[in-house]
Amino acid sequence: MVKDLELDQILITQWFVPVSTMELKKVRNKKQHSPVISDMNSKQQRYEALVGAFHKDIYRYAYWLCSDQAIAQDLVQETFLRAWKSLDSLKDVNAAKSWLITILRRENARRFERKQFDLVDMDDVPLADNDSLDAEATMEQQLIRRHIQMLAPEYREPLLLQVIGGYSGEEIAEALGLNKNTVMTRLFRARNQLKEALENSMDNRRQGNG
Amino acid sequence: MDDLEFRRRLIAEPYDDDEAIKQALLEGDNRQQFGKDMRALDDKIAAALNVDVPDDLANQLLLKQRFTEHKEQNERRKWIFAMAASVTLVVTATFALWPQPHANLADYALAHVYHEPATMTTLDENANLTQVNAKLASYGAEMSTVDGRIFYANHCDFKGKRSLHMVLEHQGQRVTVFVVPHIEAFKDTPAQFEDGRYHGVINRHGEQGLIIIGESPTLVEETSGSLEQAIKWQRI
Repeated sequence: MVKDLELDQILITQWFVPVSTMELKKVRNKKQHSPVISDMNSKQQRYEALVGAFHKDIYRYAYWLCSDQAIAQDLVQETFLRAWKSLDSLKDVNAAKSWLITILRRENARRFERKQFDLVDMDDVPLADNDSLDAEATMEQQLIRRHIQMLAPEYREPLLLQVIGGYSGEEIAEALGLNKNTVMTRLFRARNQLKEALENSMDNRRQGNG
Repeated sequence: MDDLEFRRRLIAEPYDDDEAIKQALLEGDNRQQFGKDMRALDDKIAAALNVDVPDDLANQLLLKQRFTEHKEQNERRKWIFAMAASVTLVVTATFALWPQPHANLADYALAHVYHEPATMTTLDENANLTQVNAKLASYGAEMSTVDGRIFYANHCDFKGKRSLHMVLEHQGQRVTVFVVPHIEAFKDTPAQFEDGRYHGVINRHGEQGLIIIGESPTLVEETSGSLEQAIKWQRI
């Protein structure tokens, strides 16, 4: 997870910075290039960089928010479309991911303003398997997924912000409008529930085997 | 840091690299092990959260943005066209309908003469001085004498203003005379003008103006001279 984050940072900084310097040079050297068009190209490139670097995390965050692949895709579409429209307001490259998450959370809230969807039963949802996991690991992962899904939303979201978003306790508190102690308690309970679920299942299996 | 606090903090944030936690991790094998376990659990959670992302999602996002952009550009273009069209319309309408205060008085007077050619050739209403003065009164003018015949004396529309259009005789030739009130609206016109066929002068008397048009400069000048003496002007 830490590695992923660093990769994002490298990708996005590399993609953002050279683009802007390139554009500057282009404008300076070739007068016939309209600055407006260069500006639009640069915006396009920045947007593509943003999509490339963050669409996976944003999709995963959306997926765990709504438990539905189709709705998650719609949410991601809406999120990136809004991001495109207000791309100029994104000044700090390092804030790009949390900016997108903020947009995503707002879009998700709007979804509930429009319509309350039925909750999906996890047993009906075909969850994707990561390749190259042995049977036991796969089972364990399915179990964790099921239990993440069963977490109450107020426990699940701090966990998503921490693990997918890479937020610190303070940042989660700020994003959710809670105080830090509450956030840490919720993170503790969320993970503790997952931990216990795993331990129970292992106990059960041992008993079953014995 | 007591054990409970240590566990609470590490469960809440397994990758917490706070100094106090680092220190606490060193305080015994149990704690080391617990730290490892929690990080392993967190890695499992992270892996579990990493659901597969639809392969073409990135392309879909770009496609949708391109489409929206294209649509918006079209709408913007339509809007610009609409604006341009309405500006053009307004400008055209303004030029067409706005009374032009700086229109050339000489050109207009000449055009008026050409528009009614009969006045300079055959038309003869045989008006007398009394009739002329009755009409002149509304322009604040009064004519004491007249040299020759008066072929024509009628109100007419002179560029939106009611004016008096007269055709007088001077030494057997016809001369057109316009009495124009509020001549100050026409500022750019020279006092003398000619177009190859007709010659003209404009005499200003305060707000009123007298335009004299005839076929030769001499004719115009002489008529102008005698009218200057014959007509008394009053403010209107």
